[in-house]
Amino acid sequence: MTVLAAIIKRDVKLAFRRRSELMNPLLFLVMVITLFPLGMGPDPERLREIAPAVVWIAALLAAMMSLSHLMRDDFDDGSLELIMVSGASPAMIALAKVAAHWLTTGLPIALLAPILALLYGLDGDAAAILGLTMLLGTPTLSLVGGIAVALTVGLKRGGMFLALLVLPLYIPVLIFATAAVVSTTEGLPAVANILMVAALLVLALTLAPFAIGAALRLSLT
Amino acid sequence: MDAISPAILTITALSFARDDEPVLTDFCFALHEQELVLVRGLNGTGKTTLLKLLGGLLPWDHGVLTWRGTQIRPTAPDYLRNIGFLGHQLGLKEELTCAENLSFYADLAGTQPALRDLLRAVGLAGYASSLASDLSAGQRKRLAMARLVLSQKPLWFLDEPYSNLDKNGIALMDRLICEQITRGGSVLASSHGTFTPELTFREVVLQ
Repeated sequence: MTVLAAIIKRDVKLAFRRRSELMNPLLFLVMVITLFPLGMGPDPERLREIAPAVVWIAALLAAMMSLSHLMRDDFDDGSLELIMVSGASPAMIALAKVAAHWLTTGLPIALLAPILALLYGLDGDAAAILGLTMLLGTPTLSLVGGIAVALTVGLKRGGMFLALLVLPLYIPVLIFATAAVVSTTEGLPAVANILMVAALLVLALTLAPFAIGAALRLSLT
Repeated sequence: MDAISPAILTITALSFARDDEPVLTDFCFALHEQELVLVRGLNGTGKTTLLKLLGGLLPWDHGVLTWRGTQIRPTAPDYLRNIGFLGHQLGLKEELTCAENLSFYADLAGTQPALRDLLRAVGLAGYASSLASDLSAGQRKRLAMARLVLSQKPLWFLDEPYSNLDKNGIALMDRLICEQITRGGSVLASSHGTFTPELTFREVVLQ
């Protein structure tokens, strides 16, 4: 079995054994999306208008919440050291860790968020575009978040630093993804914005594994 | 050790400083085939640091590493693939069973060992389905020893190999070290206490 498959298999198994880690981002997403209309009032037009931003921000924060578990446990119990000593490429290790993280947090968020968005009165087309941007955008969140996690994993209290590093890098995804959904609700083509989200994913997929691998080496020292 | 066995690992003029404080300065060392070397020294003299430097986990300030006659980077995959590492942290996941923990490292090493036989060999017969969290500290160390054996690496780096082990565990560790040497492998171990394998070993003392 390749290093990639071995790490993904183990991390997905671990995520299902640690149910709270798996469920917390999803519960956060559900709570924010369902509570928001209570504060905003019941105006359907207004809710439809804010839906893309609310859902995407909730998803983004939910994904960020789960980042702390991406490498912290492996760092603390020594398995990260052993994986690095195995001779596997650090970029491959990084890609496997991020892929497992996305499968257990980003993917469930991407599947759940469009359904929750229907509560805001989004039509089917807009919800479908929201789902598509989520599927393209959440892997970018995991990849970009992975860089920040790898840089801060050696710090005792790196939580706030992690948020400060990650949030500015999440903004382009948020802007283009919400713009795609807004365009759809206004009857305009969303292709350009979707392609931008896809381009960000390609960029992150190309560069982030190497950056994470290098940052991991730095953190282990 | 065979006196004429070739050196598989050579370090020349290795220097490493932590926060500008020198830990190792111009350290030279050679490890031969089927050789057991003990790195001895008081706490803080750099035993763990040396093993981490050799495992590519710390960056070298200066120095040259030669593996089987070829100069190589300490982080080169072709070198690292030969190393089995047993450190202070055992790299075990509490939520996984003993068999699952071993299976992960077997997948990583690309081997397919008989896990139950391996567990029996380290005194953990019947624990294949037990969670690692249910094991005692000594049993976890035994599980880590099984992980070391399954990787089938020619070079073992053992950092304080007897920690958390009882008398039987120490005897088991000694047996595994002897088997590794008999198989043609080499072992570099660090310890600040007694070291008991029934083999001739060379000592390197860090000041």
